[in-house]
Amino acid sequence: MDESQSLALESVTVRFGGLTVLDDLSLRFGHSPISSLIGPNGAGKTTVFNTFSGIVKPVSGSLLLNGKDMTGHSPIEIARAGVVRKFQVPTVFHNLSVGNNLKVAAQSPRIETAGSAKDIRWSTGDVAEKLGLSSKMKTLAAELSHGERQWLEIGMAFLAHPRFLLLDEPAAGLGPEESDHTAGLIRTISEFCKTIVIEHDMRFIRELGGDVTVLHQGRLLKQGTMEEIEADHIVRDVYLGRDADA
Amino acid sequence: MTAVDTVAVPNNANSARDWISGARTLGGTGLLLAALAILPSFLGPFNIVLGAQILAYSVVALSLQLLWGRAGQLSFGQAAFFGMGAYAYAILGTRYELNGWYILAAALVIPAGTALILGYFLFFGRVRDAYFSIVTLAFVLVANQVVISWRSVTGGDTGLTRVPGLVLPFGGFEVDFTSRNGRYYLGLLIFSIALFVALLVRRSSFGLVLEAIRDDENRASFLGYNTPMYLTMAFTLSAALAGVAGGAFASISTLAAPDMIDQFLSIQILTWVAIGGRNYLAGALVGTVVMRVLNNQVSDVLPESWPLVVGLFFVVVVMFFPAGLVGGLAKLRAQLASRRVEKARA
Amino acid sequence: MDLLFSLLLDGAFLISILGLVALGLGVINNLLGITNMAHGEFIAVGAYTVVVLTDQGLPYWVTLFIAALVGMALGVLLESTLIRRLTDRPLDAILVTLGLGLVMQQVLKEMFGSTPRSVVSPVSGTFDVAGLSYPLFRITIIVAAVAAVAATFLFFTKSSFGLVVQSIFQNRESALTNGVNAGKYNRLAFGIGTGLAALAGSLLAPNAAVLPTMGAFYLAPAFVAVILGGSKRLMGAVAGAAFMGGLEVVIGESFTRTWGRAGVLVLAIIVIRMWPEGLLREPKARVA
Ligand SMILES: Nc1ncnc2c1ncn2[C@@H]1O[C@H](COP(=O)(O)OP(=O)(O)OP(=O)(O)O)[C@@H](O)[C@H]1O
Ligand SMILES: [Mg+2]
Repeated sequence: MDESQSLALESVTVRFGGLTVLDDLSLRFGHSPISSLIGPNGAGKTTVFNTFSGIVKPVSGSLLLNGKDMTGHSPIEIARAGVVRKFQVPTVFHNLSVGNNLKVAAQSPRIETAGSAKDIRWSTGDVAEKLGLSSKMKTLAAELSHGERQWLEIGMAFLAHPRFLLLDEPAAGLGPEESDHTAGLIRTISEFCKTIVIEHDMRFIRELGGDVTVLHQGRLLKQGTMEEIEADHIVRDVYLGRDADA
Repeated sequence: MTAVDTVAVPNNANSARDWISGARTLGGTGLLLAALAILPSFLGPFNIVLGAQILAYSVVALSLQLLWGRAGQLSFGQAAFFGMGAYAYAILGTRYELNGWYILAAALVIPAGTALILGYFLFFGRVRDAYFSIVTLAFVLVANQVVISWRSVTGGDTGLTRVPGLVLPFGGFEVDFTSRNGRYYLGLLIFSIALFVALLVRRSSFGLVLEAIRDDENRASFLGYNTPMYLTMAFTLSAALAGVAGGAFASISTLAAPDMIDQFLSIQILTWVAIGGRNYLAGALVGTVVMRVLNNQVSDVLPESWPLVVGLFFVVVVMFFPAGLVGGLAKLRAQLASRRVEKARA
Repeated sequence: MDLLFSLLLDGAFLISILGLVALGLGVINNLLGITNMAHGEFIAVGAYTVVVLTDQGLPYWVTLFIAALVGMALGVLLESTLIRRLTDRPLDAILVTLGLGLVMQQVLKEMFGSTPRSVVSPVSGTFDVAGLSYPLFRITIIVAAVAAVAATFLFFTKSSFGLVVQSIFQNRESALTNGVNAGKYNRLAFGIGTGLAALAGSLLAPNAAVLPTMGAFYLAPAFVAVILGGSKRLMGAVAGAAFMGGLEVVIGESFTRTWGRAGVLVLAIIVIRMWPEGLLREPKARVA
């Protein structure tokens, strides 16, 4: 496979105290513009993202970005290499205006690598418009609604010129309409960078399209298209089964 | 948030608004400086020197506002850098016949270099917030001890007196800041420069990143910003400003004494910024002027009680008016504006 | 040999005083999450209490207890009137203690003037071993300080109050959600902390010039000692104090007192830089 656009874990084990959270896990993203990462609570999804962004150091195994070994690099270095993330709890700069939040993200330092010339420089105004926040450029982020804050953070991550954008539960706590707007945003973004989404809401994931990775107890259960995943009876048992009625 | 909705303007008007607010700041600053430039003709001889000292003190207040208000790190040791600047100036000025620029440069570089080293160790060592504040407090205590015990160079308890005023050569001619008015204009000169630097930081992306770090440092570093470096730079810049202020102060007062490098001055600087409003440039200036003028009045009536007044004032402001005078006024204005909007709607 | 002996005793003396101060600071720091910047002034309060009471003819050893109680009462008073209102603004709480320190220092100055006061040593004579002699009184002070640290330790490990406090140390959130009345513990912890500082001051009184500013130099090393000790173990602060005090005596003996203090702080900063995770409280890594 083409290694130039991939983010992968190879035989990664992560432990917190005695608890093995990722267990000899090998995963690869990048073949599809949008990928979803699903699994029951505590499966280790956020930990996968934390390992990707260098917050959590694995006990063994390695982290590869575009085939290059990034194991042990600091979060700052990894962010500069283009792995940008949105946190599970929306984190924006509360005491800065929406406009300044976007500006800080847009000006964030990046390593210029081959191919980055293709990157389109988006203006903060354009992004604000896509987010539906252009009338609130002067509003403090603290005064936004929960949904608006989620969008702002997605916009910030996007403006930080990611090669890989990691979104942890971008639709959590959103109403159906807000959720649709978010899915639309993510689809637009995925035209410009590889996007990986953690979500629980299967309807949302179906709407996104792309391939799906199922994690269970720190191990890879299955990776494939939505249809393949839904057809798989093991996945149904551990995960979808419980959710299907809801 | 009705007020915000009505105030918000379409996106394309932003640059025009930015431009207008920039022009307003520039105009206001120009007016302030012009007023300060003609002020000496209205002041008596004693008040001219007092004015010059207040200008120099305002620069230290600005330096702390930069670090505390913008970057969110509070230094309890700002007087250490001020004092280092003052002693650098006084020692070089009394001992050697140096070009004025070199002396001024030493008053800037020595404190800035010290802050660079200290900041590197602290900020890259993840020392932040209260920890940072207390280490800086320890630093000023040590600096004070060193100044008092290193008698042969610093003059010990009495300090250095009869420090010559600053003379700056410009090509062929010299600008002499030794006369009474000259001392005032030295104060005004460094004040203008410091104000310009502070305004520049406020408008620049450097300043914006500092504010982002103040808000959420983790978030900023996950965007790829090297946050310890930003904080170190802010600390260094702050110390450079404080050092120049100290150098100018030594020239204006013609002395350097241990009370320019002690804990009490550090706390006073902190008080000026807190009372004026820690999040506002203007706050640092208002606070300094109010407290220095008040100091002058109180010293006449109750010569011994000034620290008590400072302490009580400080406690009351921090407890009940954390936004300070300027912050309080800004809040009041916003409230009035929103009331006006509501009325207009009704 | 001579030098080593007096160095050891000097070190033990400094460490025992610093240990008490740091222990008090640590209790407040770890329980309330704020640093008491007026800690040095509580040292002075303790010392002046001894000055006043021994002038009245009370025996020194009795005044120690009264000094500790005065410090404690004053601490409880400040916590319940001022600090308590700032629980959600910890940085402002620190600023308030800074202002209070200034106020306390000035009040002491107005009451007692700025000329140093002294207390006559209750124990005279020297301690002689193999031709070396050392003031006996200093040794009794070391013993008293160690006893006070031990008593504090027992109190925190054996009493039910202490056990609750320990659980708050271990995990503030869960202890507080388990229905611990934080207000009461904060108040008492603050009082115990300031009481320990006052006790240190009262032990210091016969050995030092009693001045309103006498405590200023203990705050920074005590604070570094608390950092070095970590926030989970109460006695960590005492261990940190041993490190700081020992270093200060050694460097101070080789150079001068001033350089001793300066050197210790510089070294402490370097230590913090080299082992930030091991020495600071838990790094605030985000677990999203
Ligand atoms: N920093 C940490 N220290 C200790 N345990 C942790 C840490 N981070 C995660 N864990 C544990 O690791 C396991 C996996 O956590 P993780 O957050 O990766 O799950 P998740 O799949 O994202 O779950 P959710 O759907 O609830 O967000 C959990 O049992 C969690 O308690
Ligand atoms: Mg998660």
